[in-house]
Amino acid sequence: MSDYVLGISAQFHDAAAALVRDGEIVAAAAEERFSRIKHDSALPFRAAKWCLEHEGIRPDDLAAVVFHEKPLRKFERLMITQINAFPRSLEAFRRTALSWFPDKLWVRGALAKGLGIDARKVIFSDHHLSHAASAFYTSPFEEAAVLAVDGVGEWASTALFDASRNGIERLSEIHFPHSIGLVYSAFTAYLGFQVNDGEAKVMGLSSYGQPRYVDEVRKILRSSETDGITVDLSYVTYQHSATQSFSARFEQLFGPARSGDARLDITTPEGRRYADIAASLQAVAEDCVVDLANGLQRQTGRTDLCLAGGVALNSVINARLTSRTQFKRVFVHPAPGDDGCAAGAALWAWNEVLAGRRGPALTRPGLGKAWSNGEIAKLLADLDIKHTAFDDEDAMIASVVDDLVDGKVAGWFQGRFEWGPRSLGHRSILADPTRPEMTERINRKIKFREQFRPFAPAVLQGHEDAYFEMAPGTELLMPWMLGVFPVKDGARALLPSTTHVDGSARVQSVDDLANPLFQRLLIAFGRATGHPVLLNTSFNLKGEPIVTSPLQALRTFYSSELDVLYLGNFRVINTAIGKHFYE
Amino acid sequence: MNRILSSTRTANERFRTVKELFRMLRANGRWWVMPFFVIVVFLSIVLTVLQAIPYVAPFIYTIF
Repeated sequence: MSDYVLGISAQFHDAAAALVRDGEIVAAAAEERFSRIKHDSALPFRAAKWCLEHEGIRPDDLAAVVFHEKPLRKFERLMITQINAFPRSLEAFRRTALSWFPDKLWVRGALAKGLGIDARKVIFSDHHLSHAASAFYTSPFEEAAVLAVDGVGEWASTALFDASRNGIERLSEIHFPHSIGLVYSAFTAYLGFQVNDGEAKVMGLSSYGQPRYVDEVRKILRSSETDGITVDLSYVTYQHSATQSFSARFEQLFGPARSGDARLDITTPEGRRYADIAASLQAVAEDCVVDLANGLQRQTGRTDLCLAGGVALNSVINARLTSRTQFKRVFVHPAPGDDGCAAGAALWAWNEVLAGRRGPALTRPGLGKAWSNGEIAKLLADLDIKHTAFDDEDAMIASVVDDLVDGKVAGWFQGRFEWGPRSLGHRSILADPTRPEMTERINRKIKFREQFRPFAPAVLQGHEDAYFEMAPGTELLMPWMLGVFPVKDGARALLPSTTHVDGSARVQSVDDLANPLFQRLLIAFGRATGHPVLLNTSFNLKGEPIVTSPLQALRTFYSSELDVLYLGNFRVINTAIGKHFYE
Repeated sequence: MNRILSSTRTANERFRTVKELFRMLRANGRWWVMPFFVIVVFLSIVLTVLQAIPYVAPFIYTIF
């Protein structure tokens, strides 16, 4: 049997490919990193081709290609839902007809043709099982309860599992249209943000508000430990509409929806109302996940929890699970959304279909493509870009520290790009978090994004407690920046540009396993300033995928007011002359 | 020759998918969806063909 299994997720949002060798993810990438289309949903042939190239294998060498869900089951759900809602579902029906028949229904043949493999090698996982496998098989747990919560897969929106050496056993599931993820997305649309993209903005906005509308949100979304999730369908329309997710009754309850084009000013009464609604939604969503987790804990008796699905991107909820449930530890895969299903599908097939030996726990996020110093040097020479070359990484790190201490904002492009939506020190924008002006400067002049959005701190592992109030059992969230924690009172003034308005921060801890070069930078920065903490945000402009290649890094660098760029062992400064040459 | 083989393979794959779909609907007790499926197939073929005609495409959205 071949050692390789390729996982594919696609056809909704965040398509991705992940290659598993002997039970371990060796290469993984979202298609958007190659296509440059944010949340690209197309079959990820570019990402898949790169995965195979990375390992130097041919398509024939694959034991199986595993699609993350069962498209026929999903199609069945769409048909039945739209028949039930006819004629209100006419527009959704038109979209289904135009997207499924020419394309989505025939995914087996399309994968076989696109990858150049025998169609018999294509097998299908189940969407929530893929989510669950992505979390459990990359966690350090021998056995765990697994909770997968997202918008919707085939029929399920939420699934509860018990995982052990014998595999992942499904205990129960909650079906569409009762869904925490879809209700959260309906509020995202109501608050004027793009669905499947703006949910993190809603979470950021919630920190500015007070949960004054909790009772109103509970009219729509209710939960209990025994009955799971229930949605009052008179407030939502996503079950029959492809373009509108909340109803007129929803607007009667909360007031008029915000237009996405209007500037959101949280100092106005209207802006505060939206922030209060976001805070109320966040509180209710957290209660729902806590209820589900408590129910699962009682059912399984496990002490460790793996959380998966798009809702696990909600770092505020993740960080509170151990303190609000009986679980002692919680783990979330670095790509908990649909991109991670590619890894989960491959890991499920390896462990449970091919009966392979379970691989090691995932410790590093850099699973994407890298460029060598030689390739970067050639690019800089070809573009005639003035730069400084360093002989070794120590000299380069010393220069970065000097620049950051000097108040510069640096682009940081090093090694393989990250798996998942976060920049974790491979494709990052870095700055000194002790400078209060950094938040506004980076939001306004570099990333061109909303003023209310916070930045995250990356901290050297072992120093978290000096700055943040960590909940016990949440350590495994830290390497992937998937937990929000209170900043200690004494540290808020020390880290003004990474402390959110409510005194919290989405913390990333860095050790030598996760990212040795970034760890060395944090050590050097700590020696220079007394604080081994950096402001770390994704290396992209608003609305664009995170940069993949050195050329994209240069484009983003020259399109913004970043001061300096470190491409491998090369330093480029942002001069008008350089900009002119690039353009 | 290669093109014919490729088309045959695609047709076989699609036939297999339709068979699996019908088998699944029957197993789930949802055989009543099958006639709708046939209607949707027919409409989608019509829509796909019409959308490929430059003079007709702009009116498709309005009509349907």
